[in-house]
Amino acid sequence: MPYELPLPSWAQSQGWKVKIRDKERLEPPHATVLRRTESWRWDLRRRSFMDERPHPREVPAVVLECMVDQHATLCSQWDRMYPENPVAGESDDD
Amino acid sequence: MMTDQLFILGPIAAKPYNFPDGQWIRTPDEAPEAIAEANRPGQPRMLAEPTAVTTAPAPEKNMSRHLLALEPLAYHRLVFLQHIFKSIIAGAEMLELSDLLHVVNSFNRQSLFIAGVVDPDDQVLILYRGDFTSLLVPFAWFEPRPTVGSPGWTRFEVTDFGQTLRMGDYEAAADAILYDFDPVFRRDAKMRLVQQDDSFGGALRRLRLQRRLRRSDFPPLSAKEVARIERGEVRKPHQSTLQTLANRLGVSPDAIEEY
Repeated sequence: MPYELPLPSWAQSQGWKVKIRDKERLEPPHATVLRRTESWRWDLRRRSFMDERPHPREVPAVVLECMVDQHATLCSQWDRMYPENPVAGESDDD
Repeated sequence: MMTDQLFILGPIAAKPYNFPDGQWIRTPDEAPEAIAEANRPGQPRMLAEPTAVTTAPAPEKNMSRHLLALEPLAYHRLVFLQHIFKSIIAGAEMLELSDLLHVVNSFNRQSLFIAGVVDPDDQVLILYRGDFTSLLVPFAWFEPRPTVGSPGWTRFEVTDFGQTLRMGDYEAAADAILYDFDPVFRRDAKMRLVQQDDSFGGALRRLRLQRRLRRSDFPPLSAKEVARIERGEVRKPHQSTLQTLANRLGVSPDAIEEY
């Protein structure tokens, strides 16, 4: 079951979504901001956008604020879905 | 620059898709003029019958014709249509048509999926990208997850403008699929990164995690040895070490650095 971060109604009505899906690229742990044909990956360890394109500036402040406010929730959801690569990282001995 | 012409084959009853009358081709007489206007994917033409395009002029050199059939096609029709269209997507689960048209017009359409066919006999998923190319992904790639179990293949759909595949309660990211199965996508994705560990160790760690392997899964190498390589403490791993890592990861030793 994917996790979708609840967003303010304005952002939802504009088609913005923040998701962690059941099959993602595993490293690093991240949430994905989706809008229509574009997406922005948000690194849960660094708390920053991972990719230069599309430009992170295109993500509205209200969506970004929501991700920052709900950082702990996003991390716990990632850890629940991907216990083999938790946000806190692995130990050397696995 | 390559231009694509998109044709959609469906019964007139497909009117709910709201194609205006002018975009329908019903008879061979209507085809030449309509096809001349259909030189942009944003202006697809609806075909009421495959035979409506028998009089269509041959496409120009830099033009490709693609067909989306809303319903399955009989084999003999498929053979006939293969003479007219470069690619044919038929009997597939597709994106909502309005979203699909948005995808085929987007600059990153090769990174988005527009349709898919679940093939339970061969245990593969056939995916079609926005540039009409296809990709085969084995069912086994979609491993069961702790929170959702296995994909529900009977409830397959493409969603989020081709960025997500949904199989019942299970969702897979399109970029995760392309990263694993398309070296060109992988190279482009790495170039887009703001900041990353470009070392061999960083690539090894990403690939190992993508394969859901633990550091202890590389015998006779110990977990500590693998950890040292990932941290860059081993400057040049021995060839036999590289081979052990590559064998377990299912790639050639040279390919590890691509990840």
